[in-house]
Amino acid sequence: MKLGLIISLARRNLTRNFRRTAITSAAVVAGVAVLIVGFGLVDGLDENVIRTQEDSVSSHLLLRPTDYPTDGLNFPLDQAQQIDEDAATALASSDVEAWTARLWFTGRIISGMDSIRIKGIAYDPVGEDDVFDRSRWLVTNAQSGGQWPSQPNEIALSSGVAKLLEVNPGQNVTIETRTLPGAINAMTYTVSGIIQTGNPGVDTFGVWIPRDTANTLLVSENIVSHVAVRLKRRGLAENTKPLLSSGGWVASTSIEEVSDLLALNAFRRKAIELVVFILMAIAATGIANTVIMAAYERVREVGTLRAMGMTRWGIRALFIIEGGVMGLTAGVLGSILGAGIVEYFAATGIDLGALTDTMGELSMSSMLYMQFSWGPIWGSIVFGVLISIIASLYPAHHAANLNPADAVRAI
Amino acid sequence: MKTVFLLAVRNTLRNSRRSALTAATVFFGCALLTIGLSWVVGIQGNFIAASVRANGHVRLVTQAHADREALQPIYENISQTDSLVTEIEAMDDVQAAFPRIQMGVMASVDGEEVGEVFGQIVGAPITYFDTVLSLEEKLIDGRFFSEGQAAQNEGLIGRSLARDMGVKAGEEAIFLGQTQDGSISPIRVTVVGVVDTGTGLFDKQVFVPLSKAQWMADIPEGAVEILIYGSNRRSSTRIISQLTPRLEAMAQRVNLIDIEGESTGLSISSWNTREPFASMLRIARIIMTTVAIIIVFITALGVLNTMLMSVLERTAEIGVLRSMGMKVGQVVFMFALEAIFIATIGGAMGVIVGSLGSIAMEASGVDLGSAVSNLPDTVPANRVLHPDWSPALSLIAFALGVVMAFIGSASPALRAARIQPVIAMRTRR
Amino acid sequence: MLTIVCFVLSVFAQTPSVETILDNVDRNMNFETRTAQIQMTVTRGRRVKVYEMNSFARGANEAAIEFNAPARDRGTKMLKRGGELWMYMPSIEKVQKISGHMLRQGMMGSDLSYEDLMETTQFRALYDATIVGEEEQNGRACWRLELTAKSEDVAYPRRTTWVDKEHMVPVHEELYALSGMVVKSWDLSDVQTFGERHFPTRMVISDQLQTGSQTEVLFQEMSFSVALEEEVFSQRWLDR
Repeated sequence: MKLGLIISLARRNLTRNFRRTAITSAAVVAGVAVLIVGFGLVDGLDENVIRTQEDSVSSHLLLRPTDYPTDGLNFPLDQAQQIDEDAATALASSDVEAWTARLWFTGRIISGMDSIRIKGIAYDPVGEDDVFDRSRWLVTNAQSGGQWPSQPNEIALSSGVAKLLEVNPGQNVTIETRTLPGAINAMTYTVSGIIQTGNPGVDTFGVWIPRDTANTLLVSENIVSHVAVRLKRRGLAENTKPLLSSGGWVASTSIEEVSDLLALNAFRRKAIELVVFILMAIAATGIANTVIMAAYERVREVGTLRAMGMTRWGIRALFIIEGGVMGLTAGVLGSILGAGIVEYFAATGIDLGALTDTMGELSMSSMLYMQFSWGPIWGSIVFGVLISIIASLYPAHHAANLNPADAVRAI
Repeated sequence: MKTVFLLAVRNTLRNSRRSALTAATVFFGCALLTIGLSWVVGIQGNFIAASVRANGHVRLVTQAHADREALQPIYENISQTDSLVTEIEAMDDVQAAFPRIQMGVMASVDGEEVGEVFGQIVGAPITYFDTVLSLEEKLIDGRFFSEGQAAQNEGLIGRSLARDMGVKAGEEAIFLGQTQDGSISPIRVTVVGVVDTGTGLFDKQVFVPLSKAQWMADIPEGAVEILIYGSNRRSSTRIISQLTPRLEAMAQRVNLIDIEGESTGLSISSWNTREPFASMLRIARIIMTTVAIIIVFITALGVLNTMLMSVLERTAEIGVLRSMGMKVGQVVFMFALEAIFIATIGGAMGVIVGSLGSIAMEASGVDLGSAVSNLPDTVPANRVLHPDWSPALSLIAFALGVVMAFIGSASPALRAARIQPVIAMRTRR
Repeated sequence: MLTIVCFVLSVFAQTPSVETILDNVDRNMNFETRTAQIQMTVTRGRRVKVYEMNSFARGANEAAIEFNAPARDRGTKMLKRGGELWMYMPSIEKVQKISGHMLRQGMMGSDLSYEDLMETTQFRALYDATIVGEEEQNGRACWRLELTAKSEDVAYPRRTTWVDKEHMVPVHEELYALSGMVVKSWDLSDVQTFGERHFPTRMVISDQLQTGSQTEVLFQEMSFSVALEEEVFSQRWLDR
C-alpha cells in the first residue's frame, strides 16, 4: 500500500470525525499552551531580574574602578576616579549608544532623633536620561506629588528611606558625610521627591543627589565610581566588555551583576517544570484513551483495509500518522494560544504592584513581564507530537495484529 | 427507576473494555490531581513553615519596636521577659514562648584579625534551637549544646557563615556586636557544631544561649522579642485573642519605656500578617491556585473527552432505548450513573495511588540543591521541597473526578437523548 | 586728645594677640603628663550610662585609659599611640585596633567619637585662628575665636571657641562641618586651679545634628607633671 493512500486515509479519518479529533486535541492544546506560558513566565522572571538591574544601576555594562569593592556596602571615595582620556575614548566606541556616570558614597541621614546609614547616589541629571528611563521612578502617590531635584538645595529620597524616616516631599533632612579629603560635612536639603526604581539595592537605603550638589557636599571634583554603559543591544555586551576594561576600569555585564539572583530562578524553573510535567501527563492520558477507544471502534475498518491488502505496517503507520498529525495540530494550536498569551504579557506585563508593597527584599520589580522565546514553542510542538504518537502506538499495534477475518466480522 | 439503575450497571459491566478505558482516564486524572494538589499545598506550606520557624506563630515586641521595625532597633526591647514568658505559657494552646535577641555581628576565628565577615547572632533558650529549629538533627559537624550551664559559652554556626569565616567545630570564634547603647560589644564563643539548616537565611547565623546575647546587647534580663508557638498554625488566632486584652497590664507590670523615656506598650503580630511573608504568601497562593485550576481544567478535559466520546458512540443505542419508551430524563440518568460508577472505581483507585505516591514523595522530597542556597538571605525557604498530602486532598480529587465524569456524560447524553429516536438509530459510528 | 590716645592705647593693651591667647590656652590645656580619674555619663534618650576610668596622658599624642565601671566594662583599656588607637576587650581577652569607619563611632556609644579622641586640641598645628570679638558665654566674659583648618583632611573644618578671659580656658566650642552646619558643641566649666594651671573639669558634649543624646565628662582627681612609666603607653600595658 502506498504511503500516499495511508496519508489520505489518515486525513480523511481525522476530518471525518472532526468533533472527536477536536475533543482529543483539546487537552493537548491546553497542555502545550500552559507549557509555553509557564516557560514564558520563568524566562520573564529571569528577564525581570536582569532588567531591574539594567534599568536602574548598570545598563548593559557597568564600569567600576579597578579594585573598587563590589559588595554593595562599601563605597570608598578615595577609590573613585575621574574618567580620563583613555576611558573616554573607549566609551566613544561605535557599539556604545550612551553612558552616564554616578558617584556612590556612604553617609548618614538625620531627621530628629533618628539617623540611618545611607547610600548616596550622585547622578548626572542630564546624562541619566540617555541611559535610564527615569520616568517611572518617581513615586507619584505621595501627598505633594514629587519631582526630581531641580534646585541646589534639593535631593530625592528612595522609597525605603522615606518610609523609614516618615518623610514626605517638601520636608527637610540633613545628610552627614565625609568629604573626599576627609573632613566632616553636613547639609540640610529639601526632599523634592521620592524615587522607586524597583531595585532594592537602591530603593532601601538610597539617596539621590544631583552631581553638582554632591560636588559641593563631598568636594569630589567630578570623580565617579560607577559608569553605566548602554550599548546598541544587550548581545554586544560580552564583546564590548574587554574594550572598556582598560586603564583603571573594570567592566561587568548586567547578567554577571545579577548571577546570584538568576540562580534563584533555577528554583522557580524546577517548580514550573514539575507542574507542567504533571499537566502533560494528564493530557497524554486523555489522548491515549481516545485513540485507544477510536482504535477499537474501527476494528471493522481495519479488517476491511487488511482484507484489501494493507500490510500490518500500513495499519500501524495509519494510526501513528493520525496520532502524529493530531498532535502536531494540537501542538501548533497550543503554541499559537500560548505564544499569544506570552506576547500579550510581554508587552503589557502583569502588574503585581498591588501585591508587592513590601516585596522589596525579593528583588522583583512590581511589573512582571513574560518573555517570549522560540525554544519552548518548538519543544512543545515536538512534545505534543511525540505524546500523541506514543499514545497511538499501542492501539496501532493492536489494530495491526487483528486477524482480518475476525475484524470484518466484529461489530 | 430500578430498571434504569440495573441497565446502567449491566452496561458498565458489559462494555468492560470501554468502561475500563474510561475508568483509566479518571484513574490517571485523579491520581495526578491528588499528587498535584499535594505539591501545591506542600510548596505553599514550605513558605509558611519557614516563616513560622523564623518568627513564631505569634510574635511579641514593644510597640516602639514595632513602629521602627525596619530599623531593627535593639534599644527598643522588653527589659524583663521572665514573668511575661510564664504568663504566656500558662495560656491555652500555647506550647512555648521563647525570648530572642538577634543582631548583626562581625565574625572572625579567634586568633585572626577581624575581617569583613558579617553574620547574625541569634540568642534564645536552647530549647528553641532544639524543638523549633531542630538544629540537633541538622548538624553536619560537631555536636549540639551541652546540658545546662556548660553550654553558656557554646555556639552553633550555620554552614555559610562557617565557610565564610573558615571555622570548624571545636574552634573558638569572636563576634563583635553592639550593646543597646551603641558601644562595641565582643563575645567569644566555642563553636561546638556546624549546622545545615537548608535555608540560605539561617545558614549565616550563629546560635548562642540567650544569656550570651543578653550580655552582648546589655539587656540583662530581657530580650528584643518573644516568640510564641502554639500547637499548630491555626493556634495563632486563639493565642492572639487571649493575649490582646492582657497586653496593657503586662506592659505596665514590666514597666516598658522606649528610648525617649516614654512608656510604650506591647505589640503582637501573627505569622500570616507579617511582611514579607504576607505578600509572598498572597502571591504564592494566587500562583498556586492558578496552577491548581489549570490542573483541574486539563484533567476535566480528559475526562469529559472520554465521556463525550462514549456517549456519542452510543447515539444509536440511545435511539433504540428512546424508541422503546425510555424518557429523556431516564436516559440521561442512566448515562450519568454509568459515568459515576466508572468514575468511582477509577477515581478511588487513582486517588489511592496518588495518595501513596504523595506520601512517598513527602518522605524524600525534591532536592533543589544549590539553586536555593543562592536565594537572598531574607527568604527562608527550604532546599528540599515536600508535597503535603492530607486525606482532604484525596477526597477533593475524588469528588472532582466524579463530578467531571457526571458533567461529561450528562450533557452530551441529554443532547443525544433529545434526537428523534428514528434518526438516532440511524447514526453510524 | 591725650585721653583719647590713652583710651585707644589701653584698649589695644587689653586685647592680646591671638597667638598670646592660644599660647595661654595651650599652657593650661596641654601638658607633659597628666593622670586623672574621669567619669563619663552618656545619656541617650532614657538610657543613662555612667563610666569611670583612669586616664594617663603624655603630651597630646599618647594616652591610655582603663575603665573601672560599670562592672560590665571593667578592665577595658584604650591606647592611643603613634597615630593609632587600640582597644583591649577583657571579655574576649583580645586587643583590637580601631580604624577605618570604626573610628567615627562614639566611644562607648557616647558623643565623643574615637576620632575626636585622636584629634585632640592641637589647635596650633591644625588650625589658623583669629579673634572676632568678645562675648559672654555661660556667664563668663570671653574672646571669641574663629579657627579654620589648615588642611582639607581635618575632621572639623571650622571651629568657634569662646575663651574665658580670666582663666584662659575654652568655655564653649562649636564644631562645624564644611558647610557651616554645627555638628557638635562642647561646654566646658568647673574650672579648677592646679598650681599655675587652670583646667575645666567638666565637659558636656552634644551632637547637634541628631537630637536626644549628650555626653558629660567629669575630671576628678587630676594631677599634672606626674612621672609616668614608659610601659603605660605600650602594647604590653594593653595585654596585661
